Amino acid sequence: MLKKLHKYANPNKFILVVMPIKNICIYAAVFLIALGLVLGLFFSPPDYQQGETVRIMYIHVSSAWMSLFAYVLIFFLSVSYLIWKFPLFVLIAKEIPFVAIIFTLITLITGSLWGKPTWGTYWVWDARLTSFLILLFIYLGLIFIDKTFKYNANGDLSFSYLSIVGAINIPIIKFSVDWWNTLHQPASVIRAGGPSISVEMLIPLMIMSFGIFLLFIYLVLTNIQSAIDERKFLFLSSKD
Amino acid sequence: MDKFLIALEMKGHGFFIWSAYGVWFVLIILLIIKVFLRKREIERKLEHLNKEK
Repeated sequence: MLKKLHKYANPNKFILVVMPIKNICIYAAVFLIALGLVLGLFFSPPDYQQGETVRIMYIHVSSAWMSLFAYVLIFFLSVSYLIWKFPLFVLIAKEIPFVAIIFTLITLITGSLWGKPTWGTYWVWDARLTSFLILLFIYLGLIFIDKTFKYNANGDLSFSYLSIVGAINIPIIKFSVDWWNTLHQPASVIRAGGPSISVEMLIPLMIMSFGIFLLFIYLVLTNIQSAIDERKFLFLSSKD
Repeated sequence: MDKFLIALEMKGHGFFIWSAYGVWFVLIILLIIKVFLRKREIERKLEHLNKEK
């Protein structure tokens, strides 16, 4: 299985394979996000407790899921890089934090705007919010390492080790609402016993989340393409 | 027009809801622009290099 994947470790072959996927992703993402926005803003019902403010959920939760998924992806790519030493793994991993940090920032800002009418405050140092802020700083650290050690094997190793150490924050974010008393509500979609929110809210949320996921894939693939071209440029210009 | 204003007002929570969607939209657009500018810049550099050769 792994031997079959070896040929895709060549960045140029990888790009050839993923390019058609990239184009499909952007069209599907635009359609799903537009549909999710219309359903979420105008057709989903208000919450019986939070009223209309629940509509912030469609952008807040989908961005939060994306931030967490992106980190899990970086973690697995870093572990794979340390085991198999394929440079492509760390090349992909290093293109994720810049996209993911924007989704983390969106999660924090929209959460804060949701918190004011719901909890009466924009920010509180509770476990879920604080651990999410730490995730933002971990992404910042990964971006700084990438910028500081550009095209350096030590940089690749430092990036991989930091991302593995930082992964401890992911279960803390997920289970913080169960382990500590927090203002943040407990999980209502990804939980034992199935989702507890109404189907009319769940459908726009899933559509929006899938659209955001496809947009993320498109942006990361575009960044990977640029990173490969940058290395190509560096190689060609150093030959002269 | 009235329906539009009611939709904007969101029963008194319009400021929070539309601000959240506004921030979301601006940040997503800035991210897309940044990714595209990086792609265009490196394509331009490669094209320039190829022309020189």
